[in-house]
Amino acid sequence: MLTFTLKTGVSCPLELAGITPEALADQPIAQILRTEIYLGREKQAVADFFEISGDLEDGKLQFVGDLSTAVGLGAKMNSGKIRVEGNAGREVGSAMQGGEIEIVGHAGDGVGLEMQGGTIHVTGSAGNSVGGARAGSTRGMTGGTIIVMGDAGHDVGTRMRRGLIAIRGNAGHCVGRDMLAGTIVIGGECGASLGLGMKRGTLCLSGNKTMQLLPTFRYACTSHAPVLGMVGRQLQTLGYENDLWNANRQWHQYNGDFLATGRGEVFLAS
Amino acid sequence: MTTTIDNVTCAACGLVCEEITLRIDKQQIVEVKNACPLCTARLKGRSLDEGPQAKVDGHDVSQSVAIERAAEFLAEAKSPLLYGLSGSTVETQRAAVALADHLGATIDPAIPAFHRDAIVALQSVGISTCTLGEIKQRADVVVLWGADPERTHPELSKRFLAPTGRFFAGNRRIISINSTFEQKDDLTFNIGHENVLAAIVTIRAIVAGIEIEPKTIAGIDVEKLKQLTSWLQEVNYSAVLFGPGIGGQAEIKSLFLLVRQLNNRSRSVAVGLGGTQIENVLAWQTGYPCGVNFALGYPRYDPYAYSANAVLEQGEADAVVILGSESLECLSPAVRERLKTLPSILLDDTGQSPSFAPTVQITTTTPGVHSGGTIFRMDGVPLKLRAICDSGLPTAASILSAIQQGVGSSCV
Repeated sequence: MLTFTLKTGVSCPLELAGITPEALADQPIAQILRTEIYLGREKQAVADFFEISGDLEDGKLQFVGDLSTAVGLGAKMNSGKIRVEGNAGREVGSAMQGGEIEIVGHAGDGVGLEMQGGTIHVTGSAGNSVGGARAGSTRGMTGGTIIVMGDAGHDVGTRMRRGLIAIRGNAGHCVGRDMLAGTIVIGGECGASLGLGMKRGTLCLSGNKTMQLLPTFRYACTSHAPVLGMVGRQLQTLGYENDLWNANRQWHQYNGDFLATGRGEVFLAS
Repeated sequence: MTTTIDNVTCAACGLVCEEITLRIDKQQIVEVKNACPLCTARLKGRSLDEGPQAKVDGHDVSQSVAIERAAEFLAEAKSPLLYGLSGSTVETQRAAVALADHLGATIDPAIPAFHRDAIVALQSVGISTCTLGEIKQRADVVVLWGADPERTHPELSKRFLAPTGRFFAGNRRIISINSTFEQKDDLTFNIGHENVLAAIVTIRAIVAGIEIEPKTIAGIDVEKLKQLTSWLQEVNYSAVLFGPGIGGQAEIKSLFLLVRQLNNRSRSVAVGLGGTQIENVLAWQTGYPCGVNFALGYPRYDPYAYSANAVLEQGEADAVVILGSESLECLSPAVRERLKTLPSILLDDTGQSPSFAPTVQITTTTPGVHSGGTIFRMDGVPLKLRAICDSGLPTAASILSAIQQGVGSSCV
């Protein structure tokens, strides 16, 4: 494992897009230390911020330190693993295509923004637009899995096209807004306007029985919802303890948003 | 000797009224006629012969010293922020974008939160809109939604809503939703802030012919919403003028979609009751209207992460240029506190001391009084401002260009 240890506090935005296992593979340490990254508008060497130890033979990269002001950590990564021991700023894993990111701390806005594949695991909380889309963009996340063990902000999975998002804690308003497909599981409470404009896709509020849905959602049935069992088992393998797979659980299913196609599903715990 | 100047254009609010009359005595505006309280407060008592004023750390200095000091710390900054442009002219905006590009800075116009949300909603679903003149002449139903026009746009009713239109017969029906506009009870709707989205969604469902099962939606009688919907559908031209009280991005986007749906049957438009459009130059030069970052040498856009509030809240800026003290109103109290800890430049036309102590403060001309230029009305109509005197004050554009020259090539 190649470890980047932050040796100084960083207050300006530190652009870390491009520092990925595949980009650094086969590079000697001296060359990695000379790699230029942007601090605000200034280019500086990696050596100005980080001490580096270990190697990349196993394809694993680790950051240690508070990277709250980092931008684009693991963006566009394809393979390998990035682990962060500390907080990890904005747009973690944006547009990533494969590999794994683990944040042992909190993440900022835009975790997995427009990601296409791979897995992101955040042990703390995440900001707004988890798996969402950039302003004006037609697609959010199109593949992959995001797991947030803490809370998440607003607009989880906006315009999501495919993939799985699981938030163990609470989420803000407009979860699954305009989503086209994919699955979102929220373990705690969630804010208003759930599924506004959703065309297809599945929203599951595993711990919520009293959610007030928009008037353009309709009650369909109460069932065991076998599909949630499959989702639950998959989440279980990814370290998200849950009881979605429990065959005795009953779910109230609603369909909507009828202002779009009405083919989205919302499951509320019974 | 007293002189009178007619047809002065006012930039105090988004309406940009053009028929103000000023009476000037001893180089001071002593009377403002045909004007609203906002315009009077802005212009009455203003001196027309103010002379250059510049301060560094609170001490009076020459303009060139102030510019030199400003250029000095901007050249050293790693992550500068340009913010403001409230009521600014196209010329000032152009100079500000050039400076931001040169510095690799973040630039963000001082627009209220609902205006920012409207921009994002517009990019997402588009907008059916028009000029205020078209509303005056054609709209037989006007909905004021979450607006307080008496306070923010005092002349709106007199200039655009009260007159009879050329292209419709009878009286204009004005519906007030969560607005301060005085109207009969049946034309007044008070919807709780948290229920606005449910109300818009319900109206959209009624227009689309989707059956609504409950009798009340979030405390609102569905029959009443059906009545409102029929007023919007059974006319030739409906207009929705929305203000900050409408809510956030989800509400505004749903409103734009409602207006789009109404267009299937008859013309319908939405217009935001904001200030003058100060994002236009940024939009046509960079492709993005707000929250633009030049740090990597090319424009990057995020209307929320690169907004001045977010950048300052996260402590991501190490120097700030504020254009116009009115711009401070769009910053949160915590962010205004934070300004006290950063090196800052304030270019302002009032000459008054702000709540924080800027490192450099330069008094600039008031557009439409001391200098001319072009501004965009809130509905996107460009209007000319003319200078009514020569005060000796510099324009904000000239100061920004001088700072850019002072910074030189040190940060390219």
